[in-house]
Amino acid sequence: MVELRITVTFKKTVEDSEGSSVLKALRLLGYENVTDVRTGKVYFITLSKGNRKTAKDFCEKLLANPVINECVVDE
Amino acid sequence: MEEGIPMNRQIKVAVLTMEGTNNEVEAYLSFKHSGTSPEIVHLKKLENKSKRLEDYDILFFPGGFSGGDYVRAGAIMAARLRSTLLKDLEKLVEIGKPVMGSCNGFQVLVELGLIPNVGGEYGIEAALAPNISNRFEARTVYLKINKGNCLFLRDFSDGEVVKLPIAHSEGRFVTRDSDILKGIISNGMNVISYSDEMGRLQGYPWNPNGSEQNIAGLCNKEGNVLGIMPHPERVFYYVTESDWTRTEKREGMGSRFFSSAVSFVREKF
Repeated sequence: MVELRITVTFKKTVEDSEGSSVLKALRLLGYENVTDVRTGKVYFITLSKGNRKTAKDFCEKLLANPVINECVVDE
Repeated sequence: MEEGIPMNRQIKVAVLTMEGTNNEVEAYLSFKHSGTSPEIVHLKKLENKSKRLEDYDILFFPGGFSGGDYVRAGAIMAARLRSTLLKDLEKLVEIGKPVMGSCNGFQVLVELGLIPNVGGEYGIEAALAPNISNRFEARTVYLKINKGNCLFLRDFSDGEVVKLPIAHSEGRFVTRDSDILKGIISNGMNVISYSDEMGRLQGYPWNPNGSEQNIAGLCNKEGNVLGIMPHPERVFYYVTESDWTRTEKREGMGSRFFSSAVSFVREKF
């Protein structure tokens, strides 16, 4: 059994509109020390067999669009 | 042999669906009322070979939320098509048959690399990212037509401003790098742009999602693949336009996309 944790985020150069909305909301709640919020998705994937190299395929074939996303596989 | 489909042969259209698409009926009716013989085709039928893409004259990707819009809008449908049908799709495009996607269909075409395809290798060159406003934008927008060689715009005039409905939260067209954007502009592929009522390119709210260069619709270099964020199929008749009570009876703004494709196929295939 192989357990993968893959995180997909927007590249730093891409406007993260959900992050901007969360930033605004947190500041409205009084947390004025919050200066930036970035959002992303975490996928917890279990394989019956195989290895972590497969995770790169998952990123390329489905989970991330290389134009706007970064895809990080936890070691 | 003379080019063109004889009038007694029906033009066959595939409106491609899967779990979550929801504009297939409007698209089906738009093609039917344009004089073709459309069919709603589930992706599984193509995957299991009980239907073949090559049997159709026009392929349409409708809007909606294919695959629940999980992962990214259009990503799941594109990944399934890429794994089993990419060669068939590329062949369809290369022989010049009309392929169009609206809204979620546009997202699928971009995820597949069928547009913009500036590099000609069907790589992923762009994305439709979440709207800058971080809202689901659902309203009517003004669009300036720059028809170029796009077959779906034959029945429009260059520089014409039209109104079409939009309904999306991931419509911000962004390119991989400045070379792709330059290629789009220099090849005249940015055929439909968000504008004000005078046709001037403006920021929000005219540009509802923050697309680069106000791009609302994009054709490939060859002019036979169109992706468009607005929904022509929802305004085939003028009575479904937002201001229909204040306008005279006429053709719906969306109908010309379909009539353009039909006349092209009649002439060329």
